[in-house]
Amino acid sequence: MSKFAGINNAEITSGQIAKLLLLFALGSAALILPSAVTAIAKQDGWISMVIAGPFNYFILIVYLALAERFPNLSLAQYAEKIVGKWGGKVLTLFYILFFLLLSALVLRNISDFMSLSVLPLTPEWFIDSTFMLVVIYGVFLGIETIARTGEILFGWGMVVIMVIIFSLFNQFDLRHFEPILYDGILRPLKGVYPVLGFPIGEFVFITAILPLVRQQDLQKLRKSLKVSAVLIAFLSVLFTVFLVGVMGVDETSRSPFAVYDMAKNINIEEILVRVEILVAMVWIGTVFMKLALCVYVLAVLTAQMLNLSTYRTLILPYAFIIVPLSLIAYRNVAHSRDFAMGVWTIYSLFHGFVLPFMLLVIAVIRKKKDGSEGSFPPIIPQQTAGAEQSKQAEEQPEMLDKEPVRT
Amino acid sequence: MLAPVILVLLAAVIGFIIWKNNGEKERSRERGWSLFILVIGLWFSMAVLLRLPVPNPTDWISNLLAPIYKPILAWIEEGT
Repeated sequence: MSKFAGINNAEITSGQIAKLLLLFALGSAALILPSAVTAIAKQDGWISMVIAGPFNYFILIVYLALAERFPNLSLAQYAEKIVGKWGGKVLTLFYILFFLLLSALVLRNISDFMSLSVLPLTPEWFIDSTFMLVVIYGVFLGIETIARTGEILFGWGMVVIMVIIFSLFNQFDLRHFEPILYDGILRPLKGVYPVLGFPIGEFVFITAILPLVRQQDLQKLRKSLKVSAVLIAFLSVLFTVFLVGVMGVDETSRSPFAVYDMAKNINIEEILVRVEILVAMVWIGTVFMKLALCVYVLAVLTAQMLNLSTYRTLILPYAFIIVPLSLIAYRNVAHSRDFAMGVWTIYSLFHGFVLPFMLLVIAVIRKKKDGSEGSFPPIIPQQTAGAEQSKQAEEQPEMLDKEPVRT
Repeated sequence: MLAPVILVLLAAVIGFIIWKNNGEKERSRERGWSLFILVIGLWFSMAVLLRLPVPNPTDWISNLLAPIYKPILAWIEEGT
């Protein structure tokens, strides 16, 4: 592995960032969220998902507006330009704590799922540590590697989701949706609440990645993110419709991992059965992406706040906090559900919408715009390096005969 | 008592790698901050491993945001 693998001056395409957004939204939320929404909105949960759909894009508009004003800077960098050096650092610290907790909670989701469904006798700390090792390696290799992994997982994920959905048509019962809107529109409106924080408020991770989109792709960025937001909304509605249609309201709202439980119902003439492990595989993949992105953003924001030249040295030390934090964050599955569906929405919206919106308003009022280079670590221009080399050569011509020293 | 020993050894190895990879004077900031976070992480891991009383951030956030989220949850649960 190259010594410089994983430096942050990488480039990703608009398509890759759209896929990362989709996988981030599907990771953990897809398996857990529909049951929370169904618990509130009952058989009208799918209407809640339809109402929540546009919010997927509304929140991105704020980030895109900030990115237009500061095209080459991440949130940590432009926060310092908008509210001053120390104000920006305090704001970044809020985000560091947010992503630290989010990483721990995502890791806890996967260990809860594994220990409840797949590996009941394996200790949670072992699941957490081994999963974290893979994430550390991915983050160490950098955003390009994460984005390319995302492209592979995106394809596989879509295939598995379609297979699962088509295989469940024979179990689908439209009567589970009756009566529609039995309590008016208020109940589906209430069902939107958990979706706003989980995953919509968490989309703020994208502010650290937007400056890495390559210049040629900036024109297509808005369109790609729009397509991604539509796809996220479509898949959320699809999952909720099939969960209620196949399992009914009671079973869906009781199940901790509803999509996984739904896949257990697949039975096509006793030939195609027990395919729920496919859901588990895709879910583990999407959670890996979400966790990798969270840890990446956490390390990058920290390094930018502390003016470090690389984020890579911070990854392993952070793993020492994330793993134990994930073990104590929730007392049990019920506590995790209460926290994720009640408290988290407010906490997440504060970081995902309130703070970026305030930054945007201040930037507009103070007419702040900055197109300066925000490379991290700072790029040393090739010309300067070449000039230094020729200067050295002039001073010590005998050096030219020697083997160049590799750094 | 084997687990804490292994954890300390692991942290020591990681600390050594960080120290060695950031040995130059101009990388002292990276070295210092990474080791600082590592020490916090080690303290936190040991506390969890030895079942010492550790503050839980989810409880802090729940208490901090209680005036906002509790009325919303009460409104949502109304008539559920």
